[in-house]
Amino acid sequence: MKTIDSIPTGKISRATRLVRTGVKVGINQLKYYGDTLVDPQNAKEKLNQNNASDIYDGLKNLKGSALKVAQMLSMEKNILPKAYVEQFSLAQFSVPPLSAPLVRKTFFKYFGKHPEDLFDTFNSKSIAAASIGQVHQASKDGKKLAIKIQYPGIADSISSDLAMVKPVAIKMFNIKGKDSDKYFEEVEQKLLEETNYILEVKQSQQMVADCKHIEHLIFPDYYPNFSNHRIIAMDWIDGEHLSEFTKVNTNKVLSDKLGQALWDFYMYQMHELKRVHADPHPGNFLVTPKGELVAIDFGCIKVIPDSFYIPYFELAIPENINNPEIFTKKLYEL
Amino acid sequence: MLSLFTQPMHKETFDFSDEAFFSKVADLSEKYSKDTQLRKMNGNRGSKHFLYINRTFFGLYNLMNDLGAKVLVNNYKTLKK
Repeated sequence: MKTIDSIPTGKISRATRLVRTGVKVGINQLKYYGDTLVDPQNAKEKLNQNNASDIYDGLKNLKGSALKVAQMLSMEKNILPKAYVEQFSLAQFSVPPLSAPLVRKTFFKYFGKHPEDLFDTFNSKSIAAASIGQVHQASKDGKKLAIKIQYPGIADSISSDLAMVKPVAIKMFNIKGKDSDKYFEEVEQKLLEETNYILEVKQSQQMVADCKHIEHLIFPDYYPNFSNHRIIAMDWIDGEHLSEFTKVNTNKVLSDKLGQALWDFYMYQMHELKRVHADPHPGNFLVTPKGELVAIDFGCIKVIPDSFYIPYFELAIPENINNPEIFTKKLYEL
Repeated sequence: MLSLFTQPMHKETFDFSDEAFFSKVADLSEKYSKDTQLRKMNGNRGSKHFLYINRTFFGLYNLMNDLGAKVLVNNYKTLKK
């Protein structure tokens, strides 16, 4: 796989990327007008496809928060045209990884030590890339570990990236001017939290303590001693991504069992903890060879305040939703 | 949208391979994207907490649909520590 040696970290170089994407989208739009004359039926689909892959190509080289926005957009499967979804879904797995020398350099910068001084073994070729980091395999005292390293420059670029992505997102989500600030502040705050790996280790350990009693659900252990604000060390767990699993699985009993574990996990968080892992995409779950569900990556935790929880779920009761008076009252509480 | 999102929670069991449910979700978003009046309304979405909560439900339901699992909805109540 192709690796990259540097990430455009300066605001100007990042902006250039996005402008380039914008220009390409403009060209696609022109092509579209041409195509509508010839084949109006397929033209729209083709336009979306071309736009989606150009936008994705632009975002891919930025990594970081722009990619995170792509990831978020891809969650809303049904709201976006299919072509966008397919391109953006790639964002969840395949991003060109950092080259081995850059990994070593980054590790040293964060830890003051080279990975081989800290671990017994360390594979400088990344196993998986995530939106704001990539994962390496290591071992220490006979234990297999997964080491997540954050891409350099991510935390600093969030605010400026977001400012650049904002106009696109406003259009896509149909957010009105007045509300957009409110939403973008929420997104910005959550993204900044996600770059804080010390917080993520804490949140992960809390989640493990709260939810490890749920059946058929397992978590890796986390190692704060080998983690810091940009690096996380956890147990390596063998398994395949949930999306790969569902593509080939034909065992209904097993998928029911995994589904029940996933459902219980979320209902327990929602109703008992009132604190949920707000990033349920297929890259964050593994299925072990024994058929257990593994949950990883607790960078994005949403605390549900009572002021939201109570009216939201009261509203959800069928009697209330069909009673216009209560419905309106609860809606205003939100 | 909310009534659809919370629909699985009002039953004792729910089958996430139920394509009827997911096509309703798809129809709804289709409606949202085509109806300009609705789009304008959609602009004002109320609490900022909707953003991540709706995102969570969307993600969860998509995963459940991929699995096509049939679940006991209230099983979590038996899981208290």
